[in-house]
Amino acid sequence: MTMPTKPRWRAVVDRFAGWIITVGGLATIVSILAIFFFLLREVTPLFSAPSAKLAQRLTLPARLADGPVVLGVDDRRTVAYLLTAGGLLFVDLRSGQVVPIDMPAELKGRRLTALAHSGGQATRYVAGTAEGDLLFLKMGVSSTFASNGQRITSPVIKVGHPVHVVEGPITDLSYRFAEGGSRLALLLERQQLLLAEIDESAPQGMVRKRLAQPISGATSVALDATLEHLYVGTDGGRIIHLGLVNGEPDVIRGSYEVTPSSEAITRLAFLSGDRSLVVMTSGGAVSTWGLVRRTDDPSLWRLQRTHELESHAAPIVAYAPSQRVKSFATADASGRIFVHHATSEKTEIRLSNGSSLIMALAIAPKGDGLLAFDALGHLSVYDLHNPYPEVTFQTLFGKVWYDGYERPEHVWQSSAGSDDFEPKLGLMPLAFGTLKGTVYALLLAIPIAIFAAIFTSQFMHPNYRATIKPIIEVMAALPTVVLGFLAGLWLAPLLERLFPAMIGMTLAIPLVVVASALLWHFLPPRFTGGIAPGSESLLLIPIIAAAIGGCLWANQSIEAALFGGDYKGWLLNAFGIQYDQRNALVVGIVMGFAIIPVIYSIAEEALTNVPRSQIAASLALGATRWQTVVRLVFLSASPGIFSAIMIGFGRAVGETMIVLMAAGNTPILDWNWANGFRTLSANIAVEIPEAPQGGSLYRVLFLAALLLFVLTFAVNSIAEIVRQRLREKYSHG
Amino acid sequence: MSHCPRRLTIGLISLAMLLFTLRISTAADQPNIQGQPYQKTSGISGAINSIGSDTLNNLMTLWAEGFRRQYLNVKIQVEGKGSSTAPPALIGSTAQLGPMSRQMKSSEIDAFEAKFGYPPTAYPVAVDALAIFVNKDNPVQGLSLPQVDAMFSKSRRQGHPSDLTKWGQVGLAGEWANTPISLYGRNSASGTYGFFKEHALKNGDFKDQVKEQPGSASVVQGITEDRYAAGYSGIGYVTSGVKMVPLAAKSGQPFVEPSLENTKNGTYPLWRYLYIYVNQAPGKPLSPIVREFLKYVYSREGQADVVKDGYFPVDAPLIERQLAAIK
Repeated sequence: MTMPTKPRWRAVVDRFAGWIITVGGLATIVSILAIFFFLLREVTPLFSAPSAKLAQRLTLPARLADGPVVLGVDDRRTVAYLLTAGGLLFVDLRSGQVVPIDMPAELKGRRLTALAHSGGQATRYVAGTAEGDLLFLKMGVSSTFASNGQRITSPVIKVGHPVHVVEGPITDLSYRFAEGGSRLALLLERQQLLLAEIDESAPQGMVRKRLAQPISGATSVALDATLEHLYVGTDGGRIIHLGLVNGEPDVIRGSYEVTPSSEAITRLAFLSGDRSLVVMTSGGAVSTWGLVRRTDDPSLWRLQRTHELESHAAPIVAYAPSQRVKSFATADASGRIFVHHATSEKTEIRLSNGSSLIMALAIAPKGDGLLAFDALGHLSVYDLHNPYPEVTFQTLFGKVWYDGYERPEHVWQSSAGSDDFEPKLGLMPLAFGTLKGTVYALLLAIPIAIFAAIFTSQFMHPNYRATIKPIIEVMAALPTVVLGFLAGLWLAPLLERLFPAMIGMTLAIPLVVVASALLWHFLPPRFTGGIAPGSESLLLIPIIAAAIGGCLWANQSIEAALFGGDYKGWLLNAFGIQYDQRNALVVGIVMGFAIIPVIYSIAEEALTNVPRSQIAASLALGATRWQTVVRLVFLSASPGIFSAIMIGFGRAVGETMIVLMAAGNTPILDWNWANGFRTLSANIAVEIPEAPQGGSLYRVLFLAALLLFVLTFAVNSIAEIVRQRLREKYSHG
Repeated sequence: MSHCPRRLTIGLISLAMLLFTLRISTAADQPNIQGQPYQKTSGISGAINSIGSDTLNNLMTLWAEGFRRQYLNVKIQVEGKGSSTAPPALIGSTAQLGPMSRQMKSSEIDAFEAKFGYPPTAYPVAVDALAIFVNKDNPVQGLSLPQVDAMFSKSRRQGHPSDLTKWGQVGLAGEWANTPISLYGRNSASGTYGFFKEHALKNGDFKDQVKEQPGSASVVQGITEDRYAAGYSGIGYVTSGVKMVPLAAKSGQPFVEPSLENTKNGTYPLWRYLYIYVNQAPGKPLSPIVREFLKYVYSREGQADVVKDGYFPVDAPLIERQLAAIK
């Protein structure tokens, strides 16, 4: 390289270099800020407020509102349908016109007294009549494509043959469709309960029916998806739980008070998934209830209140569940409509629909609309905007009582192959896993790396140092995928097999090292004199290798001697530790291996930079080498060693491939070394390809990335501040 | 943050694991392969991308190789990291074929419809039996679905009264009686994960202790190395290091081997179709290369590949129906 010699050139080059460096520095700051703001932009929509607005209001004949009503709408919100005591109506929401249909003959001249939906996303309904007949209906909107690619929507109505079940009117019913035998629970006059199994495809339908014991004051019935539990709400404010296992005589399993003031239960219904019960009362209280196993007998169930939602000020008269998430809408007699999310216990939307009584509600299948039909015959359509109902600060970081769980828990389980699955996006197990992996890796890496750095910089013969340091640094060049692969498929099974030998080594290696040091001390100088100071430790290599070999050879004997021949059983009995092949110890070893070069390299640099003159002065004053190292060199180099540890920490926090391959990715909250964990970074790597762009999971994964970013940034900033302080205190000046 | 290199690395890992895994096909029952010999047409060239199921990954590769033997000018790229990666790829038009080991969820169909105005089209291309694998040394004779559910799930929706955590609780004696069951499963992007959750767990939740592996081969490899393991995966990934547990749908029923016959008569409880999803506009023909690929899949050669990979072929009436839909 030729150096420009003219002063003018030197000035130009100097200015140019200064400019490049400034641009580089600024670009780094700008790009870090850009990453931060990009992450923030992807995350903020999660916490935006939900909204609702009236999109249209149609006026239909008010006579439709005389009696029970069910309301439905297709997934594109083009056609709404109403089944009422007075008939059946399809309304085109784009034009506001009633769609002409042929009224099925079975519906004519019958007075419908109770209506029910089969649950889930099916379009099956059942109607009970004043004469004690049941009518099974399929109602909905079909959409097909014409040959030119145009979508055609048309109403679908199929009515099965009426099935006569009882004399007298049916006042409430609950319905579960099944091929070959749908199950129904009917509430009749004088609080009689009737259970029926009906084959809808057979001409006369009935399979069997039986009367259950009357429940006094019964107002509503609900049959859950497993067909094993029937709930009856009473006007005395109690829920009666009946067990219906395998057709055995119905047994009252329990009776539960909903509110202290015994408000009458006006409606019982289910959340999507048809397992969690929603209980609504005349006082406006809304709560959800779920079954949990009894502690005294796990084969029996007990009903347990899981969530309490915001109360209405008037009796609740209408209910509609969302089909995909655990949201639902409730309406009271004064015309107020609330949209709640059960799991987060949040009431997201509050609407006032005028003061008339609301007869029926429906949430559009995609959750983007709400329909309400009132006693004056108004059909109101609201646009809902609430894309992330399941994500709140509480559900991300707190314990959450999920549908079907026995208690509130921290859970990460983000997806499933079906739609009624509730995503469980608790970040605590992942944040915990990140810390756990980091702590185990640092526990292993810090002592080894720091001691190695002290040894090579202060004790080792300088000739060896020149080769040792690059060799250790080459370790950092190993791709972590390779390390992870080795950890998961080679080291984990090996460690499982040789665990007793490894315990043996932790005892044997320090013993032989101390013993040989003592031996060295007492050996006559004619044996030790020929070896250069600083290289005697090389003699330890064969000794340590022999100790390791001995332990491996004695694996079985160590297991027999220390653990009674079965170390897994011993761990389980003595400590309650369940040894898992993919565990924190394996990851700690391999991730420790990956961060040792980073910590070593920086620490060694810092230790070497302690001025030789100070060391010489210390030695000249009579301090031993050890005293010099501990009291002078280590303190002087402490800012550098501290940075080394912090950079190692940052590296371990963000490490992905090793944990992905070797930690088992189990999102558990347990510090135990013998089981695995799931880290934020590995979780992002595993789940981002499947996350629909812009969905809850996608944004929560970005939130995880933001957390990692903030964590690393905070740790680095604190490290820098501490380093500055230390430098001021122990500067080499 | 770009995840493309990660995609590549995971692909490489799966590949490496494949090399480690000695594949044997289930030669026990040689099923009748349906379909007509493939008729080559002219003028087929270009490139197609396939992104989706890991279960179908090897099979897609076999089909791609066979198809390339017919048409030398065709380029096919196959990436398989999980069924849930197929819908985003079809929606983003980064792939023309979306192999999936489960049906699309309605939320995925919605997202597709929002972009194109019509739903995607599914072609069932093979039958898979989902097997419960244990280590080859494991003496277990069979398991009922409620037992499987109680091993893998914290919800126990199949109704098993107690949690199962040790091999002794499913009837094993001796050294097995007190050893904990070590659970392996797929990551949640996988259709196998979704299918298992829906049918074995009845939509309950997995235990947090299930070790999630990035590929089916990795599940089988983990079980091979872990003597006390149990895991689930498609039958095509069976190796000599693991064995498949016969299952019963309910407790008390006889245990049934996962075989073609038992999936056809429905006695084996965990079987499913494997699908290829395509973007087929209503009333419009498929692009020639995709059409010919699907025809190849339903040909005698294509269905022979299914058997070669350890899965079961689809039956003749279904092939006829699908071929009619392709035209």
